[in-house]
Amino acid sequence: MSGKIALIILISLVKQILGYFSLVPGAAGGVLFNSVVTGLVLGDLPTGLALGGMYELMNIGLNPLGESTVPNYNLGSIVGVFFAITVDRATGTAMGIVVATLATMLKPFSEYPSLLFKNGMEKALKEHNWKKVQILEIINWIPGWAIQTAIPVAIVCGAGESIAEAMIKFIPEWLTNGFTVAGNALPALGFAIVLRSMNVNKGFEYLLIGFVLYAYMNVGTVGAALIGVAVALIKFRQAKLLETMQDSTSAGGIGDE
Amino acid sequence: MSKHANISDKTYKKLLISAMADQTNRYPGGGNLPMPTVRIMMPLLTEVYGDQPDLIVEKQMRYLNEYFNTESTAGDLLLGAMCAIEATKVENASDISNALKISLMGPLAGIGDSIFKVGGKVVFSAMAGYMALEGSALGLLICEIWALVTLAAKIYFFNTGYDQGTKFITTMANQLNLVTNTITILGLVVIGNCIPSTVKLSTKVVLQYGESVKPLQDILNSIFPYLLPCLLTFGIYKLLAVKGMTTVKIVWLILLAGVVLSFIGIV
Repeated sequence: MSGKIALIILISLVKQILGYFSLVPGAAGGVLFNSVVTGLVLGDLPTGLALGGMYELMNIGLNPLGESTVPNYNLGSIVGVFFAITVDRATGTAMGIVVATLATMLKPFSEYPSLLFKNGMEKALKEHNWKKVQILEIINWIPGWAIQTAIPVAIVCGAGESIAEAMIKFIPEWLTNGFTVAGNALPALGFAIVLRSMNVNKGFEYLLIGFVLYAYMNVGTVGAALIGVAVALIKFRQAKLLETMQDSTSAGGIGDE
Repeated sequence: MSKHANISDKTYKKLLISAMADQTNRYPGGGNLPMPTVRIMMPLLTEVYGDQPDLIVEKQMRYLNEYFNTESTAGDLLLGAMCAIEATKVENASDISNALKISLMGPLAGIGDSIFKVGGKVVFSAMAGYMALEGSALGLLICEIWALVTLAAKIYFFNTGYDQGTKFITTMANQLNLVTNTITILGLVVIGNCIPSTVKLSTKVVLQYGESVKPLQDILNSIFPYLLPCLLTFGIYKLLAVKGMTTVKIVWLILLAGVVLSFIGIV
């Protein structure tokens, strides 16, 4: 098992490096990517997909913009799928959410090394060592990645399995059910955050279109997205038309004088 | 003759590769760009000011220590323009470049966040998540394509910023506004679609009228489809506006509510 944990961490490292050049799914799909990789390594892709889809949806509205701290589902998805496969699915789902949320406490520690690298860059600048300045900036993600991903995965997955298996015998049904219910409800948080940032008051009609498409017509996300493109194009053409009409009226006004 | 003003093709290639790297990925807290700016500027400054190392130090110390926060994809427009200004070798290049940075980083963060960080993420995450719940990994491929589109946009933005300099502000902002509007509409339609399809909440409460027994969920379904997911989303939407409420607090609240409601047998 420790070999598989090491492989998961190694893939996360490779993903981080490729992500540096936007060659792997990042903001969109990164969480699902982690789950699928963990599922593949442990030989259970369907569980990886099912939990990954759930965590991906939970992660939708969570953007670390500005100073806000948000649950880290990049970490949670690895841990969650790991326990879903090695122990059982309800435990895994709950572990993923709890670990992702607890991981917010790691944020200050992962930011501190960046300051050290900045001081290093200042020193290298004064020494006119240009190469060193660039290299320090290129490698400065490593401590943050280690603190937020590699070390927690190694500790929680390495030590957690036996503990989780022992605990599962004592966890009552209502508790695991409660976590499952909360897990199924959590995507609503992400959606609510997005609706706040997108100013839903100005676009409630679009929300309604999407809702009706699924609730009454059973059209999935891809179909809804295509209709969204169509609606956006209609809006765009109308705006263009309005613009040309305004231009011609103002031009006519000048001609009359 | 070089394709790009004031600088050899070889150095420009170095600049572009350096700018292609997504800076914000690695900086907790979002688009904090002073350190990446120093790295990106380095090949340029060493070519243009190679004989004045002290001037390079002076310029770079400013870039390293002055505030610079924007979205990194759209921010490449700005970085390209800043590089172009430094390459002209005018006496107060750093002053102009920093002034440009201060005035444009806000608007570009707005455009970039709504296209790449919020809007794009909503649309493609929702598709990928929904498809994965249905048992298909195809959504990952869609996200991969989106990642590559982001990369292409970075290259395009940096080139445009460098070659057209400050001219881009009006033309580019207009074009990007169209993309922003499209992706906002798209995002809202997709969210509206995802609330019923992916938020799963139902009640186990059973109502008894004397002899007849009817599950509450059936009644709710007949009133309005997916009533509970809609109410939950709306409730959290309102909760987010409460002062002192954070995302993390709401996650704990939802977990607690799930456990308590499960204990008393409501869900």
